[in-house]
Amino acid sequence: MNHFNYQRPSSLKEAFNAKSNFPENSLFVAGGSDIFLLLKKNIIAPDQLISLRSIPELKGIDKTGSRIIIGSGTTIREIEKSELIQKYCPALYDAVSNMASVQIRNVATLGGNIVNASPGADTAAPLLIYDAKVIVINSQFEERIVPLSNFFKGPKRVHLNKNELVKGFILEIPAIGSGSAYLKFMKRKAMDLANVGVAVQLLIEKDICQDIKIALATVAPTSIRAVKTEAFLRGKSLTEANLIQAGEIAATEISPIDDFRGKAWHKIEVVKAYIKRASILAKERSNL
Amino acid sequence: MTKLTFTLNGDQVETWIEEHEMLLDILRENFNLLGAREGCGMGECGACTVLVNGLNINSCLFPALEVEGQMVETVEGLQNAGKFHPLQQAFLDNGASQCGFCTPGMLMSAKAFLDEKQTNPKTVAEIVTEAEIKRALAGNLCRCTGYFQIIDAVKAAAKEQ
Repeated sequence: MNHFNYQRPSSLKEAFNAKSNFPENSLFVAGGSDIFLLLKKNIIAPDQLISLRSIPELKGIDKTGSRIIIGSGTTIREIEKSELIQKYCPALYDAVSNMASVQIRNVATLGGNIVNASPGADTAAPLLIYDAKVIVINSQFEERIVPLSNFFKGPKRVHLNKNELVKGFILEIPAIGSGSAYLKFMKRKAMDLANVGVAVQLLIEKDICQDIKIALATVAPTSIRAVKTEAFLRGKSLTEANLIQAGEIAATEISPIDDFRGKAWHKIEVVKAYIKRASILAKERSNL
Repeated sequence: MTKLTFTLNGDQVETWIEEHEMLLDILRENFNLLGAREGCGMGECGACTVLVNGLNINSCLFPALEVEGQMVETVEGLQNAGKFHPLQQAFLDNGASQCGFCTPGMLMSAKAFLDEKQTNPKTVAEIVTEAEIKRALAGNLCRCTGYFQIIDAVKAAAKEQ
């Protein structure tokens, strides 16, 4: 492992100052559960790491009106324990409560999981169905707000400049009566990454699906919204025939690859099954 | 070298470290606390588990500098005045340790789990379920016991508390 210099700023201002001292080869690090692995494997070798752990501006979960704001430095465990998240964003709760181990959840952060931009990131699909926006701040303290769907550039790549960092995320609380769920297909019962992840948020009135959002993880270069599938189900009843048809449409929206975790053909079959299951679970949770 | 000051198993301690060192390295090398071990070194096996401010973490992935001013607990701090912690006694009584490599990490994850149960007024009255214990220990691998004895031990310790 490369011998790096380790900075622990206690404010955003100090963090950006530290970065400007070594602009070429310095990295912001949140929980570090991904970065320290890359360091140990000598995949990256930064001269300086700037820890974001002690910056109060990056922490916390708040509700303002119909929105939930989550600081990028909030740990996965803090999100799991949050009553606001359990109540208003159950699909995100499903995802975080089933991620890695307690040890990792105690350090890993929401900002880290998103900026790391794994196609299988467990928090991305739930954030997408809550219409999440990313609050990006630069060293001049200017903020820009980007829809999460436009933030991912590709596997492990996001639209973030060197003088920027992610401050937090804005989630839209679904309309009253909505239900949402995230299902993750894994080979093991715990401590595994998603083979396929499916998040669904829907609003049903008089048996008709008034609104639906579906997001898929691990079956495309980034986590994606399945917009064609959503359009098909909107205005329809969640009958078995419609859900089977929805799965077939979803299969046309994805581009899974064969990898260590599974074969592409199998991931397609799992997506079909999980669209059905996640929609039914979201429906069961609605109107509660 | 950088000076690091923190609370270790209840004592205020001070040591000199390199900035890139992980908490596991300094616990073992600077303090000769050999309970926490490097198994995988990648946050998968949990053999390096210690508590920082009561939360269980993988010390192999935790920069030592992050414990400045914080409270660290290792398995060596579990005994009280020569008497085993209820979890240690329960592990002994239930045969929950064979080769012993994972045991310190198992004990610390179990401690974090039971301590949190105790401090949360909402959960204190609840019975500790097997499913909860399995979830709490998901990040600690054991290749000997088959886990049943470990789960039984945590259940037994929960009744003690």
